[in-house]
Amino acid sequence: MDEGARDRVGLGWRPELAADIHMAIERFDVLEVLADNWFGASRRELSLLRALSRDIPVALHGVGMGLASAARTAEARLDAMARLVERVAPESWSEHLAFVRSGDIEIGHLCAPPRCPETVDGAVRNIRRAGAVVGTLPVLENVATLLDPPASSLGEPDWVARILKAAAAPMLLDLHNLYANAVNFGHDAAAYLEAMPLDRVTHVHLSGGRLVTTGDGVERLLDDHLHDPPDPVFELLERLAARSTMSLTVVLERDGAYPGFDVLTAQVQRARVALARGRAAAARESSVRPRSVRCAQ
Amino acid sequence: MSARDVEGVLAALYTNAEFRARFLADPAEACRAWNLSAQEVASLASIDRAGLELAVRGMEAKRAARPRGPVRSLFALLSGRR
Repeated sequence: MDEGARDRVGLGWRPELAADIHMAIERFDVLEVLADNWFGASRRELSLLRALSRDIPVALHGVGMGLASAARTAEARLDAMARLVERVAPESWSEHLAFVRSGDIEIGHLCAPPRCPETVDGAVRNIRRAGAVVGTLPVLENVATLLDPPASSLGEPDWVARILKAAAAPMLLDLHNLYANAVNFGHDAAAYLEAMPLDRVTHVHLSGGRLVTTGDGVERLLDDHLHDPPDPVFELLERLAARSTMSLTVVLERDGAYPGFDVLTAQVQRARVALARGRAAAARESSVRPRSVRCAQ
Repeated sequence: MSARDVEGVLAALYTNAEFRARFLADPAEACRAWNLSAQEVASLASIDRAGLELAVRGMEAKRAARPRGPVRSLFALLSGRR
């Protein structure tokens, strides 16, 4: 880890949590705000969000651009984010490696496109244009999918790595999305993590989900943001911290079925512990290696 | 290859129950409206039906849920108004 670099942990800001967050803001290093909910806000309301960003670093998180598509992202959506970034002055903004519409069809959900060279090229074009319009590149998040996208010639880690390398963009690694895709499609989660472009990961999401079942009894893990992050997600966070040389900004996401606020702050603290354990493991390994070299001589 | 058209088929599958029923009955016929390669049609025909069922169920539940408005909550909170 770079000297002076510092990991941070925060929470996704939600209206249901606003009062508790306000009263305990010192417990968080960063807050993440869902950008699309603010595109139609008044100037006065945006000024309050900007005031919040002066008290604590704020990251904007978009869900409606559909950047990872062979189709071109609409200019109006990039302009909306650009205006919000200009008014709120967040420290970063992020979006998803997903498509959300096709032609006149609005899916209303983050969907995995076919993972192929054509969507790599389309994503890179959209991301570069988004960066030019907004003024900074987005941090890009992997998505969970219940359906392995057809017409795919690339595995997910390879597809993600190609896009981020070509766009020179950072990654928001959602560890529950990674875990769900690993569980659902028969991958070892730790190996799946190692296959991702970890040198590009600057941000992390933690969330939870539940098993869902078809009428025929087929089970899949759904990333619903309505449950606590499971133990494997914290284990993946520790593993990431042991491997990464980047400072990591970790955000706990919860969209409903809220537990007591003390439960959420305990999960934030558990993330801090996982990060510290991972960093300590990396430090132990790097301190051992030079002695091994000396002994070999 | 036309990834854009594959995205179109997926979008229709996720949102249009009538199209989805036609597709599940005869995928190749249902895909005629798009400019797809034979390989793409074959891949779509062997789509993960369990995943599709669960994805559609989740999306329909999400569409049925009311959208939230966080802005007023923050304004009310920080201005002391309820």
